[in-house]
Amino acid sequence: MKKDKTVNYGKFFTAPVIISLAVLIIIIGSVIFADLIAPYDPNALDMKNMLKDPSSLHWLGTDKVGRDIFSRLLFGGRTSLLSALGVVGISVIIGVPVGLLSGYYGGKLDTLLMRICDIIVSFPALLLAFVFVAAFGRSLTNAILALGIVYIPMLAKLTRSLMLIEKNKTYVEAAHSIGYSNRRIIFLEIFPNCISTILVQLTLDIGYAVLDMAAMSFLGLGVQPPTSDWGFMLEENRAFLTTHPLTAIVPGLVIILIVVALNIFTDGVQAYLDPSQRALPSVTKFKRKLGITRD
Amino acid sequence: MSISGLVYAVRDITLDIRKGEILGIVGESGCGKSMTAKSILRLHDEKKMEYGGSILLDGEKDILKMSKKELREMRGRDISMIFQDPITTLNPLKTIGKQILEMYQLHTDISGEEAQAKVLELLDLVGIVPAQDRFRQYPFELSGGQLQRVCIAMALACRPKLLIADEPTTALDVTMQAQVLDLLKRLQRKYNSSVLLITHNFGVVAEICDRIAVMYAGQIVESGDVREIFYHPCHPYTKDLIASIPKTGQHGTQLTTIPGMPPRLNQDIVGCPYAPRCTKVCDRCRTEAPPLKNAGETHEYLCFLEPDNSREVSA
Amino acid sequence: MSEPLIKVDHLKKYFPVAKTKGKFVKAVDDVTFEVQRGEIIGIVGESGCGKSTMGRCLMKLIDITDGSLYFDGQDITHFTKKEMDAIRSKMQMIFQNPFSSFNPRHTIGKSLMDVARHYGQTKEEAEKKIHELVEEIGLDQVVLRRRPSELSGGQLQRLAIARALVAGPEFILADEAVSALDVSVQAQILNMLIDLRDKYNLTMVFISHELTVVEHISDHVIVMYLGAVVEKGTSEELFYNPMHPYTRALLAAKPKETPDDEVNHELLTGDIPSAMSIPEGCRFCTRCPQCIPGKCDTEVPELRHISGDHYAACHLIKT
Repeated sequence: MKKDKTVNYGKFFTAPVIISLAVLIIIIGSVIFADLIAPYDPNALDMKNMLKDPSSLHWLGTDKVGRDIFSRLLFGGRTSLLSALGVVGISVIIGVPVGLLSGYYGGKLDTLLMRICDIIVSFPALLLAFVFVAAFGRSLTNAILALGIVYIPMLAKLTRSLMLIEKNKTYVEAAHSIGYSNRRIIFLEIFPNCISTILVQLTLDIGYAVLDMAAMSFLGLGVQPPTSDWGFMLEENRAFLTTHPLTAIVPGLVIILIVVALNIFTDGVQAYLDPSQRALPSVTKFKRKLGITRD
Repeated sequence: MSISGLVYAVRDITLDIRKGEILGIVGESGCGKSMTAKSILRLHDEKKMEYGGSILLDGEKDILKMSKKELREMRGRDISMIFQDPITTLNPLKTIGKQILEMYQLHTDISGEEAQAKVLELLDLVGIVPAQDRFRQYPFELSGGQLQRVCIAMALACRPKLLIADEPTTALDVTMQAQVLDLLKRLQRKYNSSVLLITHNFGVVAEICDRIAVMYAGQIVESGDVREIFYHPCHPYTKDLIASIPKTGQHGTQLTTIPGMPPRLNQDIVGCPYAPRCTKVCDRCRTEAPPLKNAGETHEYLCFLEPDNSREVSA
Repeated sequence: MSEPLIKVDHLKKYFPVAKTKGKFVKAVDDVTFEVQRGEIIGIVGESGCGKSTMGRCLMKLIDITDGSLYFDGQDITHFTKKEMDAIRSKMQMIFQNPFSSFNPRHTIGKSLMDVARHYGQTKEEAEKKIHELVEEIGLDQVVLRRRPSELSGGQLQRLAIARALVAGPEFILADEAVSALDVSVQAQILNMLIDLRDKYNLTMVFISHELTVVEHISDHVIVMYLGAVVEKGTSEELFYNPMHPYTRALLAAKPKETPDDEVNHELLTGDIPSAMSIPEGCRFCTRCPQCIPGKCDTEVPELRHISGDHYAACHLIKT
């Protein structure tokens, strides 16, 4: 028998994973260290240098009010990524417990929580976010909150279905027979077994959140000037798409790049977690691979 | 750690199944008995597996050399198989009658009406009555025992030369098991076909088999007539295995156990694979592969021990 | 005789059928028996006879519909989860599938430690106890650092026994504890259960569908059919002098032990009826070869005393 090449037996660092990870590290790293890297103040106006083409002074050129696009990209990335994290964070904090409780207890609680989720899902996601922002005022925080709420149902439903699978396994019954409390069974016995799948979903969600935040900003509902994020940059510069295409294409490209990289990375994680071992690569296993442990 | 190198699920097996006999392959989980059975039909994904050797049907056609088309034609017509879990074997969306009917449509040229009559006759034969009504039922409407009988009917529809039954009664209750075994034996007699029965249950073997092959770590360690193996086992593994089965009238006694665990299939085996667990092990066993010895006309085993000094009546 | 450890009195467990109001699956229907201290009781029956549900009722993992359950003289029928906490450590359970009965995320050591800590043992006590138990079940201490996926079924089932013993229980429920294991491993586990019973003076209920296994390990045996007890008695009485036609049929269906065994295969026809529609009269009348029309299908037979501890529920038995 040959070793099956289509199934990855536990090699995590495959070419796509390495490349996507590198892209993610470069983007996230440069965004974090924007203060050090950025050559200009992202919001400084320079009317003498409006709509300049790329040069050694302005690597990616300038926009209609002479702001350096490269610098704006770096600082904009901060807003974009942080708000995406915020969105996903809100959905995790509420969605995961809702899913766990709903799946574990079932019955009326389950019906109630899931109907609420259904109501949220039945509206187009962005439309709901628009309504929310329109009602509570335009601000970045409101945009994040709005999208966060929109993201809750999907995560809650995923967690619930994982719970439904796990709670019928023997180890849960064993936990009951030992007399563990429900809280302990939910959060210490079952939840750790759902983490790997939820984690995969989260990395995907971050990609979507970046896109959705860009869409919100593009429509003027997200960040407010002069702060920028990638979506807002797209919006500002779309008028010059024909004359100075780079101004709008660059932020668009970065969004695509980070979403694609996240997706590929997630695929890699999934391929590693799913077929052979469901457990996350624990530190020991990783060490064993590197040959550091005795075991 | 990745699984490296080759996994030898089945190592160098020579087995012949004669016309009209029931051969039982017994062994514990992971010993390669199901692998052997599936290999006969080449049911494994050949992108992941490699075969070596030959599997001859009727003493001439090598199954391992067949083309995809020949293989498809052979399956179900010459050799068919029934599995452990009848509930997942059958398609839940088709009536049981239709599923048996398909066997005829695939492998024979008989007309629809004729085929239908045959299906009804077959259902009647396996005790799924009234056949007329059952014909139109879906798998979920039948119990596990009944479904296994439907599977047997399906497998025997084209009067195959060989029927492979992979743990056919393991998922069933004792009363159902008795029914299914009885049916299997009756039909085998009636059609004079050969049956290869894979099981971990010595009781099932005692019940219907003519010959037994005992497998351990991908090898056949002992084979022979069913009575020979039961009353005069020669290989220490067979002896230990038989002794470890709880028997009637031995309430509360200590059962014989086998210490340790079977070797992993990706391990290289030097000497006898059973040596680490064997009570009669000698130095030679650890370094040299044991020879195949005869203990009577039909009785062969793989061990250094002579048949005489190991021949004692157990059971 | 001293007071039994467990007393089951007219226990019933009905599950409501979804969608149809007022219809119930009578998984356990009016079961009465006692488990004396230090004895092993076997419960046998085909799948769907309610033996596992019975076990779950004993462990109070599910609510009891009607009847009462006594543990150590206490009526625990309506104990809440909180009240159960006090006696949980005295009753432990072993499951069928060793691979899934441990949390796949935790190392075995953590799983065992959690249990010990849950029952209020100090860390040192627990460590010592676990160490001893692992030795007792014949495994290397290394297994404590492993996860369930790295161990074999036999090893895991032994560890499951160790986990049950960590609490220092009086009663162990083994639900098909050896059914998923190979014969050689099964023998190890059976030997171990018998040894441990003697050593710790444990009381056990052993649920299984395998007759020889039950006969091997049990002192008393209860045969269940469609949620009810059809026959009970000492292991010897029941297997050598079965009175109920169902018990006889079960024994007859048992495969031969050697090829030349004289076994009279009186094959049962048909399947167990659904627990939703239990036949009128004797539950077994639809499959019984000796069914008396007009009597068996109308009158419910009560358990009749035969001799000693031997009882059977059949109209054919004259008292």
